[in-house]
Amino acid sequence: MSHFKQFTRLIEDYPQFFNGDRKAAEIESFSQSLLADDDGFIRRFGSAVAEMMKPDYGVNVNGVTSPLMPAAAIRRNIPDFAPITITCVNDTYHIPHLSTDQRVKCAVYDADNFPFPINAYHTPSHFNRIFANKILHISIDGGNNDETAIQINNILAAAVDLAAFRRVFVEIGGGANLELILNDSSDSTPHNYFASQFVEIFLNEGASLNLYDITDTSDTTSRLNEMKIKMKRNCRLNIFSLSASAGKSVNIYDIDFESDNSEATINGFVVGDGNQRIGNATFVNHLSRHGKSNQNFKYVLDDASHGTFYGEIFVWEVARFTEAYQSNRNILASPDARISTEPQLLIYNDDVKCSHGATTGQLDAAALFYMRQRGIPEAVARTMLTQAFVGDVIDAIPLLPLRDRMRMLVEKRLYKRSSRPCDNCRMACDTINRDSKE
Amino acid sequence: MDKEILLDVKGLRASVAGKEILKGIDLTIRKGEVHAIMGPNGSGKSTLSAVLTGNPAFTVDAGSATFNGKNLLEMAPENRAHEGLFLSFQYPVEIPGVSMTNFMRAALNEKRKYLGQEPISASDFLKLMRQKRAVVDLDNKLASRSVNEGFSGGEKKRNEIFQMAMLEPSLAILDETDSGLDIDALRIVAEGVNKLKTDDNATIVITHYQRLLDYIRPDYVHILYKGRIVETGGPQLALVLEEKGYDEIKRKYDNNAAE
Repeated sequence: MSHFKQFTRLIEDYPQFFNGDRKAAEIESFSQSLLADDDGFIRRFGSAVAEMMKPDYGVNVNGVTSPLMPAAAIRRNIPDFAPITITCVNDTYHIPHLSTDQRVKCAVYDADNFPFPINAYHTPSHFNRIFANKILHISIDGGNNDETAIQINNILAAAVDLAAFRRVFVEIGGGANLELILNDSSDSTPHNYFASQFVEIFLNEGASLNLYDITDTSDTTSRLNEMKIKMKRNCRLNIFSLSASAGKSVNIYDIDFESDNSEATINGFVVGDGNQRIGNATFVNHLSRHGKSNQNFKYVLDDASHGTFYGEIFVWEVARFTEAYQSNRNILASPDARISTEPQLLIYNDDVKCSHGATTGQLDAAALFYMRQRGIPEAVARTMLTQAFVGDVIDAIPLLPLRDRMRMLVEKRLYKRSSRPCDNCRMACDTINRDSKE
Repeated sequence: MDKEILLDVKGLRASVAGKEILKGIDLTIRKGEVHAIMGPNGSGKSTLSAVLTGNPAFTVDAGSATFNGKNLLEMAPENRAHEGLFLSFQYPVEIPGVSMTNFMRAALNEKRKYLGQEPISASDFLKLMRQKRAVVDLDNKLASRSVNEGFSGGEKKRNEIFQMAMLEPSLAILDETDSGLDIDALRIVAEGVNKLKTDDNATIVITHYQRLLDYIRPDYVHILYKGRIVETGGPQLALVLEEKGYDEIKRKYDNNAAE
């Protein structure tokens, strides 16, 4: 419990906010999850979460609405890509007006009136359940396979240190295809922000989802994020997770293969520097036959940044003919950077193909010298090698405008340090210029 | 009438991991000259090229090296390159994920920046690539691949000379460019080097075999043994070596050392 002191005090200071049986049950369930630590969350990420909790954040206990800032929302748009855009300022969701006959339905519910179960799985979702007052509900009708694209821009902008709680529930109908982009950013004030987010997604039979989870915030922003995804038969899931700039951040990706013949891919990329602490945990649960999963996480850590990766593949006894792979490769670009990696493979039947592996190293000294001998300065050479290291993660992004966008974000992030001039650059500069003008 | 001095090395001593490899090298190279450095395995040939180009794995313990009138040993490897020093690596490094085109454009534009020139335009760059590829018959497909990745031994060496053609160095060091080449590839690579030869640049050819010197005619041949240049002569010195091997050199200078 010591990790969450500030919030414990909050619970004492605002008894009216926590009145009622539901809240009491949630606090109880949160305490239980902390004490039990069944999934090892506190053991692995407790110290990072303790760091996150240090500032004395304000919590929106009175349900005050944060207004929409159109300029800030537009700035996060992706060229050649026109999704349904939902903007979340702090903890207020602003949804566009959609005609009632559309296949896509978006609504914001009070947690007290939410017509579906409000579940919790790991510590972050238990924690989120206590404080999240609003739930964004998205549903995509099944029955035809048109592409739907939804982008949720999560923006932290306030005049004080602030903790924001977001909860999203997505249901994708049978055979429907969804591109879902979650784009986290912070304003440029020096305030400390904390974002707790829980996203629960259901894929009905034959549904497919490409999920982009992008964290591009600031050194003073913390983020505790959990995503639970449940798949029925014949589903396709692609997750691309990018922590481009995240002060302190922990992501959990928990995927259930509830019925046969589904596939999931998680590609993750982390760039850390300064004193950033960035963790990812995956729980891939093969509960049915003929499931395929593939995880590929890459970290590039500079300065005194710390990274954590915990990857778990669980193949149950019933999950015969499973194929499950996991890889975690890391580059420590400075002597003070640290990575802690724990690849786990738990298999309870004989008819599977599985592998996992982790490597950690430095940039190739021979390649660095070769490039410098040709006249490429060390900082630029390091950046080019780093880019090459993560190239396959970015190439795996299925949608071209998003792939370009991710490549641009990553390059912008990597070149932040090398003060590289534009002349060698192959970024889509019109994109950046558009970005910086607004 | 002597031409202008390009590189002047005096009393150069260098070590790797505390072990002294170069024990006092003196070498003067003028514009328009071709120098061959020969010697048995472990005599310090590759160390000399690594030290001159600034490989951080080696430590310079004493001596000086002046290049274009500037103190070479004080310069970062990238600036030595910009000043006109080029090394054709004995073992060219594979860099997966970095395309030849991006690699070459970065190298060329960094050099232009160093010289105060504007970056090259995309169309001029592609034209230059096409033109220089022809020097060593380098396949267009290789240019679009990652640097040296999956190249055969011969392709890697051709790629080195292609890069040399792109960067137009004033002093090129060819470190065992002939190793791993069949006769046809050897001819193509050597002809490439000869095409790039002018009165204003110079070449150091490091090799074990006289064969390469049939194609790239040296003005001077140096024999490096145990970290020192023990003999210097004309092209005929290489022929003598080819005939008699290094045994005589070893006997002669091992005895001298014992005295």
